[in-house]
Amino acid sequence: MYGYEIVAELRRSTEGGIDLPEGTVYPALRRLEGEGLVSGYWEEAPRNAPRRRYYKLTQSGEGALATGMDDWRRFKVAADAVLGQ
Amino acid sequence: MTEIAAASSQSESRLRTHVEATLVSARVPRQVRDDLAEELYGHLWTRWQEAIGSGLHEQAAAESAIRSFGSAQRLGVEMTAAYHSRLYASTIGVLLPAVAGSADRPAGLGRLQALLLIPILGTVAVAAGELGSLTPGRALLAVVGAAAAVSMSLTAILAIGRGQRWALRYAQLLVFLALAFAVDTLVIMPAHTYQVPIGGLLGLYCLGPALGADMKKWTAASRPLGKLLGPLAVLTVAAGLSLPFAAPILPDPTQVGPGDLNLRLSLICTRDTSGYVTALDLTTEFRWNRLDLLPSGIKGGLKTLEGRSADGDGLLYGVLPGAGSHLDEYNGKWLDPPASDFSSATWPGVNASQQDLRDNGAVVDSWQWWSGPEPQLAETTDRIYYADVETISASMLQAGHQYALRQRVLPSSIAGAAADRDPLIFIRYQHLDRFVVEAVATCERPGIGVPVAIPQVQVPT
Repeated sequence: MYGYEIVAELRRSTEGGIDLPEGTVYPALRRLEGEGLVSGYWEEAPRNAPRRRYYKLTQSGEGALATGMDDWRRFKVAADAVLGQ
Repeated sequence: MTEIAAASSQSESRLRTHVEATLVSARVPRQVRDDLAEELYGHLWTRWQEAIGSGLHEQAAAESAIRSFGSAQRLGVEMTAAYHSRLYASTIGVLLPAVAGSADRPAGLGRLQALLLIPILGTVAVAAGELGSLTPGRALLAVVGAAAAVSMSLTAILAIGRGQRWALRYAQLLVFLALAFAVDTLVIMPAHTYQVPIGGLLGLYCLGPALGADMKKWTAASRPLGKLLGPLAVLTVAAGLSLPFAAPILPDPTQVGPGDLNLRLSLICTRDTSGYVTALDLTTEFRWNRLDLLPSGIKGGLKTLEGRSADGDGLLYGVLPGAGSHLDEYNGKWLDPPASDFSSATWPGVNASQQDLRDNGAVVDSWQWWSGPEPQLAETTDRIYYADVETISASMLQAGHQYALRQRVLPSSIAGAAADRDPLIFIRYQHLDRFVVEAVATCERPGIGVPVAIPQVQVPT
């Protein structure tokens, strides 16, 4: 996915619940890239649009994602228990 | 910068300008800058196209894309944080981002940048000059101050060139200080003397640019530093401009204080059959809990190591007038005329044998006791009838050692002592030029040292 696509997907999947300034995705992506969790590469875009920089998870990124998801699920269960959900 | 896409419209140019503004607000590595610019522009371009597709006019679509993207300065800070530590991003990343273009640099900008060099030169020169002679704690403060002045001034030189308002405020402060200092110099200058207030002239030279509309416009886009960084910057500037100059008079925990000295004076009075005093045997005991660390700075320490004479401490003995008079504490005069007993004529201190300073019983120094018919001029105040001073070499003293000094004071004539019953003997221990601890004893009661103001010596008229 490229930056714009990520923002659009985030907005769509959360039905507008997460609506940050779009530019803030790039510092986050660059930080993740610096930590070796994602890697970026360029691809040409159709119809004379500027080329796009796509990002994909690296192997360690996938590991970090799995860990993060587990952590989040545990947190959610705990939070739901506290809140009586 | 790599060419991204040919700017075919005013709107595309507007998008590029926003990307450029974001990147000048960010401090990112040079090698990723072009790459990042292309990526950000691609995002804006796609958003712009989408907005046009939804029916917006080109210009309105560009503004909509920019609004959705976020402010250049905020993204600049975020981007800085992506490539640097949070600390860097929240300090240098805020102090230095460019907020003004390079095309319309005000004419007086160079003057102000030159002015901002002055604190660097001034504080470094002062700190370097003092470093050798300042005590360790003070030297450290001077160095910290000079470092603060250098770092803030260098940062301000760069920041004012990038349109940062805080740096302009710093320059304005320097102009004000230069002018105030010049006025002060002119006011206190003695008559018929002539001195060129160079700092004042420099202040005048920079006054126009510092307060002018050009600089105001140049820094108009600058944002406040924030609740944390703003006071921190003010504090750093204040420390930088004051510490190198104030260091010599600031407290230094590496140096001893009155509380580190235990001083005791005891007195044995020999009396004749009528009870009048015919001889006084004084015993002074003192102990330092700790000693100064390089009391005269590095140069002073080196001199001591080379065996050169170092300033010592002073022990001053005196015979006070009799118990009938009232002393206006330590800085005043006797409120009543001194009583007749223990007069200077009677108690000048006469031929005593050599006196020894003993460290745990072993002689470590000795003096030939001064004797003479009159008190020494330098030690004569209107409250001292007789005084004797000894100098203790600082290099001889050791912390935790108990020193003792014994002296015998005799009247010049037994007949003169016929009225003397109640002596008050004092001892003052003066540590360098820093503080005095005084103990006052009578025949019946030993004296324990308490800190007093350094007495002002009065020459008798």
